[in-house]
Amino acid sequence: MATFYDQVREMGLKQATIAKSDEIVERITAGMNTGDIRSALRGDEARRPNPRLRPHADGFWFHIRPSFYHNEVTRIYPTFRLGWLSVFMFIWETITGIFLMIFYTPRPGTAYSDIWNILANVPLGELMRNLHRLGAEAMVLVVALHMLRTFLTGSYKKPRQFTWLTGMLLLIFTLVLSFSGYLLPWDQLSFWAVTVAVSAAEAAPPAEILGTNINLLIRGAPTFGDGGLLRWYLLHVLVLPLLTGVFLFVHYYKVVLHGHSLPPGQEKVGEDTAKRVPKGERTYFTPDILTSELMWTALTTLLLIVGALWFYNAPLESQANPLVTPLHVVAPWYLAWSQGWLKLADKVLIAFIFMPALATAFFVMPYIEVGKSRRYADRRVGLSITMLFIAFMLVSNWMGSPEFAVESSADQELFQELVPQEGHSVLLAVPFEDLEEGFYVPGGDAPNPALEEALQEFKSAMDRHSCNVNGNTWKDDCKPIKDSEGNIERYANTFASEAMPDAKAALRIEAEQHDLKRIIMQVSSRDPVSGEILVDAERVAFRHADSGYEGQ
Amino acid sequence: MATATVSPGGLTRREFLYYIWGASIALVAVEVTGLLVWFMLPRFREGEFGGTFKLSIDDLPEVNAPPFNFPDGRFWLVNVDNEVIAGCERMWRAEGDGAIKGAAAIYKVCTHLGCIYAWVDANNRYECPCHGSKYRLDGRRIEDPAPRNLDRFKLAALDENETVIAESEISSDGTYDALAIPPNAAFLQIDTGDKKQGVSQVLLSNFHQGCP
Repeated sequence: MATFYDQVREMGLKQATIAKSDEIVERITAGMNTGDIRSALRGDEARRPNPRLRPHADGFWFHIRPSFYHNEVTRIYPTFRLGWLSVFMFIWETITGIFLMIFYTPRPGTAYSDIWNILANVPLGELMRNLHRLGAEAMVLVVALHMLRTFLTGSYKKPRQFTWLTGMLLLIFTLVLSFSGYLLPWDQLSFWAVTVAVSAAEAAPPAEILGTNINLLIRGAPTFGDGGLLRWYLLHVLVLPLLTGVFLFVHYYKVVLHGHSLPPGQEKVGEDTAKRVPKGERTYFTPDILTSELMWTALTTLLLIVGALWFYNAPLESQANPLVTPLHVVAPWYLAWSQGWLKLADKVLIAFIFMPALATAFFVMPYIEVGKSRRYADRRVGLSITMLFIAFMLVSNWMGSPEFAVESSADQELFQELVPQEGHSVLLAVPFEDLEEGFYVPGGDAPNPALEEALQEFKSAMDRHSCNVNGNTWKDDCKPIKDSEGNIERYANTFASEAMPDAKAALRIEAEQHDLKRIIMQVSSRDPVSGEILVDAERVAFRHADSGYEGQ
Repeated sequence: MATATVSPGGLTRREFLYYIWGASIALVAVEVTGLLVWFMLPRFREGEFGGTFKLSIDDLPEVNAPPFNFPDGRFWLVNVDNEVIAGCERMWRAEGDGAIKGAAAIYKVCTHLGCIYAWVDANNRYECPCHGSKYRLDGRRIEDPAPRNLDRFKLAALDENETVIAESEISSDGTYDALAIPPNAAFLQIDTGDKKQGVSQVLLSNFHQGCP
């Protein structure tokens, strides 16, 4: 081949440069020169042999994508773009995660203040953290929906069973990735969620040999500290992304091999048109699918940024305190079901028998449901079981909420609503300057409307957690409790089994320091019959001018 | 699908050597995994976690009064007596229960999944915020899902010269019994390096609720 110098001598500098750049473009795209790219973008017919197929055969990035799809699978239904979206979220998390890594050190002494530094000082730091956290939750949702869709359309049936199996692995990696990131801010929320998970692992039978050592391996010491945080950090930023990446390629390879299955009604039972798509029904990856995916990338980016800017705030509670577990501590929403199950039965039974059995059932599902037909009408049993399973998971999720089995005494629940140990409340959301110093009663007068509204909430919370003793029939929530002679002894609250009789409560707001106020709530109650003091409790909360609770 | 028509015949020497070679690679892989686990096990000295705490006898709460919180040592100090009528609501007694009398140092961590339970005064019991386990003042569990009673630390009573005059004893079921405090005790010593697991007994809520 002629050297560039020869070409310049032959056709002049301009033509030689054009020819050379064309050659470079063709090398980079593994087969398409500038003219081919322009013709693809214009939507022209491809020349023969089709150069748009060559990147799929000769290049790495395109060879893990199919070179053409069946026309029927290029609409929103049946894929809803969920598989593509899962990969997009994975890349999104990698990019935003690298930004956060720049300002983060995985040590209990610095991790929490690093997060505050990201929120307060790093330009766009808060946005970046919100994007990462929002993306993580979206990824869990998208991956789960992707699997649900694959099941509903029967796409996991032969020959795609193995694709489903790798998909199950990817679902588990996604959940563990999301959960391992949970610990890194080292706040109360993360610390206790992970403590519970690790303690469950510690119960691995036989606990003396297996459980103890698993605990040491994932906690880095008998208790959580430097070692544990570093281990979870490495898991989150290195081990799991690598594993996910590897299995993503296995998953993608299977998609290239088998193609996308058609909507169940579009082909005869037992046929797999995706194997041999007729010439006239093909949509080629370049340019149609490629440009469509670019558009979806832009749209999803837009949605995530709008969400992170105005609709979503990544929570950050106070710094992890190994000595206090806050009341109403909950698992992340996508694991709420596990918290519900753990309330019900023995931890070994749940974590080492029930959960693995359920996971195994999911893994082998395509090998169990072997009926040839993917049509909805032929799969009524399977679809019904799925709906019942979803209902079961919804109940389990509800059982994970504090409402189920962890309701505390009426005074503690009252405090939890207004001056909680963690997170915000109606009272804490009152603007800082409106929290004027003084002494207030539920539903009483206040110097400004914001505080007055909070006092109304205070009153309604009191109504929910207490009842007057003598015939306050105006309140529907109260029902009379009668003694053996039929006289009304006291009124009980239909909302709370342990409602405080004739409770009195008050609120005091004091200035603690510049820009810091102390909010003290007191509640007391006496037994209407014996006069004995039942409740005499106080809770103190602090509110800083920059707490960021306004409007929450 | 094509069926295998060529019979492989007997094991050749080459094939056999390959199997041996493969098996040794597998063995090395297992060894390396074992080494990796050994490498990853954290190093810490025996007794690095836990220590001995000395408290004044004045820190011991009244009989059947709410427990004394000692967060540094991760324990509650309680003083219980199930034969005292006043305040018996804190100390439900089971039918056939023997005397539960004396002081105990109770580990602050829930026996279920490691959360820190709290003393809820209005309900006269410890409640765990994570999965709702409940315990009585002396650590007997009254509600699931906790698998057993709360764990206890070794407790000793010292006189004014700081010599040990009484030590908690291990009961027949392997936990530390409540320690009767001698009248001349001046200090209490809690060894958080010496913990005994609580007993897994029938749930207390199934017990007869009558006071002694």
